[in-house]
Amino acid sequence: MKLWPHSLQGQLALRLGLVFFLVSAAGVGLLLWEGSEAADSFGLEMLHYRAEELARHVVRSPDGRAAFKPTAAMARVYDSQKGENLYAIRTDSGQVLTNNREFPGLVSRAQAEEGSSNFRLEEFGPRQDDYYGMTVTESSAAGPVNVAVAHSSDADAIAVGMLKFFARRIAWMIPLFALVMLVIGAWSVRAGLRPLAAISRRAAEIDPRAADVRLPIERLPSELLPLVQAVNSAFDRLQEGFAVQRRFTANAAHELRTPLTMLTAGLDELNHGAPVTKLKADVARMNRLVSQLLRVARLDAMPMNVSARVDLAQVAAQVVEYLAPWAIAHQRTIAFDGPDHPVMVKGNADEISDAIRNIVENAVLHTPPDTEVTVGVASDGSVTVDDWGAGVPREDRAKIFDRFWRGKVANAPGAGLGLAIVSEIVRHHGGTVEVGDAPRGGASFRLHFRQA
Amino acid sequence: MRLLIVEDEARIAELVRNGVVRAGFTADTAGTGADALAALEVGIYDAVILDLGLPDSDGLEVLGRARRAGQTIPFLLLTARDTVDDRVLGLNAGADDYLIKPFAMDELVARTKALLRRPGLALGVTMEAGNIEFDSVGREVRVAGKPLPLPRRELDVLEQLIRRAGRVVPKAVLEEKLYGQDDELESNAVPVHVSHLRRKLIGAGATLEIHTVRGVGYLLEEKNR
Repeated sequence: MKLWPHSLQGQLALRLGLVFFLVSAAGVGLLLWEGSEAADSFGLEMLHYRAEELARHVVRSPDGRAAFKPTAAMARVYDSQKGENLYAIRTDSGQVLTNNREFPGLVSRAQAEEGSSNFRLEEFGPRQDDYYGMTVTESSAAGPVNVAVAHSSDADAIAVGMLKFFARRIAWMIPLFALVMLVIGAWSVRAGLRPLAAISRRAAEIDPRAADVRLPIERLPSELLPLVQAVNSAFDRLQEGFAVQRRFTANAAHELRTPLTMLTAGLDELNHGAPVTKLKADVARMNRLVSQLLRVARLDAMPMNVSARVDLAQVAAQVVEYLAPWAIAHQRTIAFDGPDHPVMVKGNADEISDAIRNIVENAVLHTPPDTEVTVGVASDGSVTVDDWGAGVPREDRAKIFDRFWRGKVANAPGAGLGLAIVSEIVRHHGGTVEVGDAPRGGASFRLHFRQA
Repeated sequence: MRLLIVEDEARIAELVRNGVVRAGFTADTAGTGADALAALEVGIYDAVILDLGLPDSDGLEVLGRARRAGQTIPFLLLTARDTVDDRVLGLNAGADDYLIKPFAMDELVARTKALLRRPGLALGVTMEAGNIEFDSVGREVRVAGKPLPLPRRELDVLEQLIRRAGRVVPKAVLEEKLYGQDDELESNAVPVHVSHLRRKLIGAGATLEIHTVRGVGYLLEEKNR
């Protein structure tokens, strides 16, 4: 389950959306709470004012008793039919001077809550409304009076009204605003990350043959700059590493070859004879080992370009042409058996040639004297090299491509590098190499390359 | 036949010199690129054996400067480098052939002779391989000093083989040299001529014989010992 998006854009959108939702909710909540608080305190002020007003209309009648003389406006306000505003006035002695006839309970209820000047009445009166009210002692013309006033509790109604107003006038902007913010967020992430696409393209070009390529740092967001700079300096160090390796390979080639050249040429000066012939063979073997070692080192150090179109038939025929004199000198022959038409494969002509050469050399060294090594090319992009030797035992077939593997035959020629080189080259080409039995006995090596 | 050997490693220069002198050449040595260019100006050399790693300059640079100065004699490069790029570079710069160190002296001598056998060059008149002599002007062949009369097609085949003695001559090359584009060509014409020539060489006691490299071509090579 993938709940959290991996893309920066997705994460930003999700976070912005969440934050905006929470802030909006908190803002609306605060607004409503503040609104109801304000409404409450406004209501209390109002009640107090009304209590004072009621007290002002308590007069001393000619008989010396207190009496309540409301104005017409007041009578409307305290109209019992509407039941919006309730009142009760008691004299100092506790005698009820006046109240709404329909709400006789107000006096007792208001008294019951003597401890506080404010009170609430729930489901009160004939209409079962909620009320809030206050009880205050005011001075009047007839002396101190205790006034209770109550107002139908429409604090909630105020809040609901405010919410309705809010929704009608302002709330529709919230989703719109959120959308605009998300679009801006997504756009700035996208614009900020646009240089990454260029960097990715550039990075794809980097390989040891083009190790001098560096990632561009122009127009890059400052957050990404350290990463790209660190990667670039890592490339610097890698390039230096490759350079060191290449220098070593080149130097080693020269350092080893110069004395070997002297040795080879020096042997040619000696009189011919059995010991000299043996020495020459030993030196030739050493020459081969050194060049194969350097070949392996170079394969490790420098990936080759394998993207060209190569005529496999032509390359194989040239290998036969090149090796035939050497094979004939060893009393063996090599034959080429391929189609007249080109067999195009994807790869590097020199490397493919090298791979085939190693296989053919191997075959010539293992086939008995006066036999023929056959190099066949098929239209499917494969080269088959058959010999008449002892073949490769089934249990050894996986191992013969390992470096320095030489089998159980102690005096086998070569250092065991030729087939390792072949397998490395084939691997670089995305091809395969396998060994089986030749139709007439002996080993059959088959190299397969990708067709172009 | 005078060769210039350009090689900074004194011991190798001496060995190469001894080798080519044994093969009948006269040879001088130069240890630096500057010495080599100065020696070439004299104009007495028929071919140059040039090492690529020189103390004062790159061998390829020496080659390029010699070619720009109008030197047309063949250059055989010796190199300890064997990467593909180096080979291509050497041949593009105007080298005629190259050998990778270490090399067998026989190979060096054979390659040098092959370079000098090219048409228009010093060895272009009489070519020798083993005990076979081929006079390319008089169109005469001698084996062990005795004339061996050959029909025209077989002479053409032998000329191609002897020019590249020790190396395979592709069948396609022989077909092209023996018959112009216009001539009617039977599919087994070349094998038939080669087989006649082979028998005649054996009969005349030649020290070289023609080997067939099936599917590729033919090769004139010393008889197996």
